Amino acid sequence: MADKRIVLLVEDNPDDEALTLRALKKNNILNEVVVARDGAEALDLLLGTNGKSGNLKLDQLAVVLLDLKLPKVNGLEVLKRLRADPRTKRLPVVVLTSSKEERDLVCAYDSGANSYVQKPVEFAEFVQAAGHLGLYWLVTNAPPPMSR
Amino acid sequence: MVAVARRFRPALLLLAVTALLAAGGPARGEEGAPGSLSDYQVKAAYLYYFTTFVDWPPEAFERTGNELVVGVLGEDPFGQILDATLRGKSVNNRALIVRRFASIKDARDSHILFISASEQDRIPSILKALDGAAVLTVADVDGFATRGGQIAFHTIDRKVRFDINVAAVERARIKISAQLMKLGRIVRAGREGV
Amino acid sequence: MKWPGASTVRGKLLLASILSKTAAFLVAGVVITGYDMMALRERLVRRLSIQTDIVGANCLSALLFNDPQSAETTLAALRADPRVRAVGLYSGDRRLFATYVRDAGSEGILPAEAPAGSGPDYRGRDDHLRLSRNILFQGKPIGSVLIVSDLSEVTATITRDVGIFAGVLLLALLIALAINIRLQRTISGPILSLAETARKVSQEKDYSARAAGAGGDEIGALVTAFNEMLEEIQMQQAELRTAHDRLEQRVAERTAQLETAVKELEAFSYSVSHDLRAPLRSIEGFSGALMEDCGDQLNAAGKDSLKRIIASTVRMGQLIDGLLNLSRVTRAEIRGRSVDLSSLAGEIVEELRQGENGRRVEAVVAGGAVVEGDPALLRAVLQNLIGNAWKFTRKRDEARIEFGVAKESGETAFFVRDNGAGFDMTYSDKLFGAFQRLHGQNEFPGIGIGLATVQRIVNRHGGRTWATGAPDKGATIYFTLGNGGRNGGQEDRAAG
Repeated sequence: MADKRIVLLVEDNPDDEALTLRALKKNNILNEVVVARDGAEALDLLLGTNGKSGNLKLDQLAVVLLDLKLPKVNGLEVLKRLRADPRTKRLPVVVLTSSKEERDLVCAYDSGANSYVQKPVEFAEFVQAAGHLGLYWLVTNAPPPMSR
Repeated sequence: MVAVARRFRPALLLLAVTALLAAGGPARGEEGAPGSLSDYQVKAAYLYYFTTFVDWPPEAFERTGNELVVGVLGEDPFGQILDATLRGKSVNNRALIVRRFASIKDARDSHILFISASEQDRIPSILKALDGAAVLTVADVDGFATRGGQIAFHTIDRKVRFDINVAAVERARIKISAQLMKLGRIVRAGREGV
Repeated sequence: MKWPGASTVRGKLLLASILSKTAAFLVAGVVITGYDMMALRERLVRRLSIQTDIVGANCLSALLFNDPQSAETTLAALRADPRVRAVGLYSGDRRLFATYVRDAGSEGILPAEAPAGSGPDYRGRDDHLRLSRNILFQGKPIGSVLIVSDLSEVTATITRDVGIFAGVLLLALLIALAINIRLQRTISGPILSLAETARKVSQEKDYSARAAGAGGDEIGALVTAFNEMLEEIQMQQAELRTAHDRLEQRVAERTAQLETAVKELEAFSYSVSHDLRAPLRSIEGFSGALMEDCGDQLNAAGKDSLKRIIASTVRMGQLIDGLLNLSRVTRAEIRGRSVDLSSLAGEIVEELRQGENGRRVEAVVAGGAVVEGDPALLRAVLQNLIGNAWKFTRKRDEARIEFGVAKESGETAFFVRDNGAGFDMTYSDKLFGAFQRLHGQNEFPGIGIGLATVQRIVNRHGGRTWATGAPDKGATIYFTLGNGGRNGGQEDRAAG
């Protein structure tokens, strides 16, 4: 179903990026997907710099798919900064990462992640996971009201 | 202290009996009441005792050797008593011999001479005759000692006592033991005295 | 016998001194006094004998000539000797002849008859000494003399002697006391110091104390040895402390090293879990994409190659996961909790059933298997074991899986039994090895890390694992749990 809402994918690995997009497409999720390649870019897009707003319209964001291992500013830091800012405090963030380390889980949730999904090796599984994600976050989940 | 009064007779009897027993035979010819001693038994005993308390000079025995002669001059008042008393006795290893003398001439050979009362009138001449001889003159005549005799018996309170004329004893060169001396009453010639 | 004041060394020394002196004095006193008494008696008797003989001799003539008065005069001469109480002269008939008494009125002392015998006689109502002697005339007895002498002289002598001795004893004791007080300083002084120091050392554990009084005698030697011993102890204590400190330091170093190693391992695992997986994902994903997009342009060989590529990457992912798991198990802290293995087993069976609905599997789970251990790790154990049982009974129509409890040489053992493919017991030592498999991939898939993980977890709980089985007859995997993680887990036991 066509949806005007945007999905922000924060991922530095181009392969993973391609695969994720492919997976989404295979699930008929045709929302616009904006890609940020590192933490700084993500923050810039969401929060803007030097007082200016980010280019991304926050009320159009459905969900952020956030990888933890990012150059410049890593995923956890991004998460914390998002949660610190009232504009993005309630923004749904799904941590999408290869790690299943308990440490990462704890930190992610402590820092305010809404969900934690491990990227499986098998693509087929990944497609399935992406489908679930899309279904849930774009359809099932009620987005939080945006604060101005 | 005054001695306890004792009957002297039994004492004397026992004394004489002891002496006579020591002599080895019962007394013979004793006079007087049975159990009592006559004066002459005592005197005889005393004569014997005298021989033990008296020292004669050595020359007194020159002629008699180992005999000590107890002589009786005059009538013998002792009878057998003296013999019995002196029988078998010896003093200083000298046998005691009893001799009777009729006259003084022979009497010089005795050591003790008992002058009986029968001679009492002749006492001075007797004593003169014995002058120089070591003879102990004994008599029971009154005043014998004062008249020059050496030992005079007398009886007081039924006890036989004697006087000693020390000078006469000394003249005879006879020594009388102190023990004997103290029993006798010392007499000086011519005087009665202590 | 408890003597007051003899509880201290000083007291003992003093007591010993006093007792020995008193004893010596008593012995000396008794002996000397006794000897004195005897000598005195002898002298007395001798004197009396002489007196008696003299008197007797002097009275001879009086007896002979029956002159009691003279005799009494002679006897009275004995007034000069105040000790003579009475003298009796007896004639031959044994009757009293003449007497002398010192004190008027005491004539009764003299018996009326001469006593028999001529020896000294100590007895008598008045405790007098009586001596009687025969008087001889010409070798024959004619009477006897009895002298009665009082023993006041003897009493006086004894009293004097005892008095002197008591006085001297007292003096000696006083001197001894003085000497003792002087001497005890040199003898018991060091001993007291030693005792005090020992007490101090044992109570306050102060090994720096030293006893005073290291003199030249045996006590001094003892004090010196004691001090040397304390010196030695102090030194050893210092050495011990140094060694202890060094040990602690080494332990701290090792712990730091260990912590560093662990941290490095964690970093390594973390790195592995992220960095190794990413390229793997890419390979697999794009291989799949290739297959999908260009599959129809490939011939059979090409498709086969791709399939193999994909399969390999998947397998590699599994291997990585298995290794990461094993590593995590080794590093994990064991949280000692009460874990109900029975209910866990039940859950796992249920999960497996839900995953494969079609299979008919009979599952028997023994109840009441409650142990102490880490819930997550123990769950992993059961998952592995029951999962294996599920897998290896795939070919059975009547599959049977059992979880139970058994007693094995006094220990409580748990087992998972299946009637599946089983294994050859000759390869049993390979069973728990990492990546060791006894079946081909085509028969039963798997990477062979499950049992290694199980063994690692069980070992960390202080238990051990072993298995029995026969080809095609099923297998039973046993495990025991030791302290169950109470000590934070024991390291690999010998079975590994």
